[in-house]
Amino acid sequence: MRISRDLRNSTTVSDEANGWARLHPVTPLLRAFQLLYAFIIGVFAASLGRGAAVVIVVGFTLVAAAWITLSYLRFRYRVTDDGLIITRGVLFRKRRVIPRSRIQNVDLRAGLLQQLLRVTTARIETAGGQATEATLHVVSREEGLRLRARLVGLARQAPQAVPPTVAGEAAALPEQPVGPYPVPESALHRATPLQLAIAGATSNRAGVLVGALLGGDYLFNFMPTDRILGRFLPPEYVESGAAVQSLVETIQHDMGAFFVGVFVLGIFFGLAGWAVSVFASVIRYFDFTLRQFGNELQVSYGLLTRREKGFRRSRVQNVQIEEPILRRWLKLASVRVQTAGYGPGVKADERMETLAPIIRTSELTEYLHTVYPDFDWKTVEWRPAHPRARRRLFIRRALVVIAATAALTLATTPEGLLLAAALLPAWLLAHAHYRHLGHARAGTYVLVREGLWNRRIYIVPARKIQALHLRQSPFQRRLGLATLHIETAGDPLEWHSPRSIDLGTGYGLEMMEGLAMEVTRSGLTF
Amino acid sequence: MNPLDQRVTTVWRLTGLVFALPLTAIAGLVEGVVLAPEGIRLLAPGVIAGLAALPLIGFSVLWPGLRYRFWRWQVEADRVLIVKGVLWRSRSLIPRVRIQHVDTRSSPLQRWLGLNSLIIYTAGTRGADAEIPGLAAEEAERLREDLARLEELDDRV
Repeated sequence: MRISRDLRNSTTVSDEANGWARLHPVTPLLRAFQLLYAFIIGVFAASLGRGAAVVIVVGFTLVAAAWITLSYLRFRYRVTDDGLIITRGVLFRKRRVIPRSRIQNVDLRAGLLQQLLRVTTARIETAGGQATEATLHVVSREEGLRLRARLVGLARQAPQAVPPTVAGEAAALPEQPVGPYPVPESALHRATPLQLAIAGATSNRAGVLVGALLGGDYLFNFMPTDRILGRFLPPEYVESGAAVQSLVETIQHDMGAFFVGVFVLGIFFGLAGWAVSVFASVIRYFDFTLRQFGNELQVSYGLLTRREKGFRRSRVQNVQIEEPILRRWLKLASVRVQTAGYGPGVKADERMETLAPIIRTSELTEYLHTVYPDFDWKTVEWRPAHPRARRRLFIRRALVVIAATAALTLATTPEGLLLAAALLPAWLLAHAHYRHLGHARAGTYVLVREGLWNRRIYIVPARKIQALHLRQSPFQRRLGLATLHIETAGDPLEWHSPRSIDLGTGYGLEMMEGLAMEVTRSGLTF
Repeated sequence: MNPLDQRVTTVWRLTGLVFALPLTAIAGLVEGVVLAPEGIRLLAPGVIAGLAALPLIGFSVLWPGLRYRFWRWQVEADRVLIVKGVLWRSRSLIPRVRIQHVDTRSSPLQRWLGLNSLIIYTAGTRGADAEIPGLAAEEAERLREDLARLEELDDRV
């Protein structure tokens, strides 16, 4: 039945009444804004040679205006029961049909200007493929929400359409929403600005920012550090220019002053990095809201760029719980999900959906329930990595310490040998690191965790496993250890994907075997 | 488990040499242009470049033999197994129900030797883990047909 309806539609391409829609009328205006930078180049060109440049600018404007108008007029899309059809193209006419079953998520993203105009850019993401499958730039926000509801959510029928006639379809979709788009009853989770500030303060990003600010100040001297340092140190030590630089010179004059300076600068850069991290987190996740609507999860957040994303629960490939060290101490965590909707063309930190910028670890059980209803966080029993892993983790650090000690001793004085004392903290770190490695089975789910400074826990349903790899470095082989990589769709980077480090080789093989059997079974039963 | 076709070592050796030769040329250039005017030389002209090139060429000739020895693959009823790696060992298991599609591919060099590469795609993103690089052309073709048969059982991500 659906097929015949679709065929009929394809024969009436130009029929507006049949559901074909254009983008929002402000589209040409916004596209023109995007070309503004080209104008700046034009103005720059004009300063070089006036007459010709003016001609170029005017000619460019006319061509661009014509192109923008034509492409706006040529762009039409239509939502059918089966998916989305887009026809577009000025010189080459293109028609793209995206089946509903292939759509992983629909993202709405509105920058500041778009928010003022109450419009948004809709991106339709499918599994596989390098980049976004289709971009509707721009549609009104209401239209965007409607698109998301119809392509991702349960609202299969057009707003005014009759209820489903096929019995099977009606049974499969018991919660037919009414109205132009589903209105969620309540939000599952909202993050207050205070919580977001805590999220920013406890992320490891603050540390990275401190490094960036310090390096930036050393090179470009953009912070008022020399004035701050001048309050604590005798002025003859603090010369104008980068404070970091003059501090290095201070070491020759006065050791005490040097340490005061290091302390002051450390606190200053620490606070500055922290402030930036807090600020960035609040801006990025402002008004974070998670809603559930049947099988669809919706998240929206952002102050300057407002993101509204929706995806089906069944499309979640794995869940990642992130606990940087500060969060772990405060019993906080962030939760992200891999939906496999983003290809390699999407920025790395955008490839996973944030499900919670920050929550208490005590809330995790309930939270994970919304994604995996049959998963119980409380029953998870972690199994440690193989005890010999401790040795490997220590040797790895010890080699660095030994190399540094040897280099220092040979290059300077025998006192360099004192550095070997760092072997003790190295051993303690290795021990702490070992305690954070582990894996667990819970029903049809497999869990792995790793990371000392930034612990990551992955929860992978066995049915989503695509391939398994058991890998061994030469070191691991000597110790009879191996790392099991669990590959799901959409994971872009190896060191950001589920893996269980340092299992005993035999145990790893067994685990791989067990998981493979489960994958095969799940593949054949569904 | 099955080894690859012996001829794949030829492909690897030649590919290695293709990369080694420009590096040798660069070494020769460095010796001729930078070192020779400074009066730095060993015995005869060209010896330094030769010494620099020796490990490169040795590596490209000898390594493929080792690599070949550690390469094993097997197609079973429910899975494809690939075991490889000389220093960094890896054992990959691709459940057959997860195979999306299978390609055969051959470079001109492979075609000349009558070899094909078999590439197995899953919905996972690291497709290269499931590549069997040196198979006799007929065997690769037969495997591709064989693996394709189960593809249709499950096509959901």
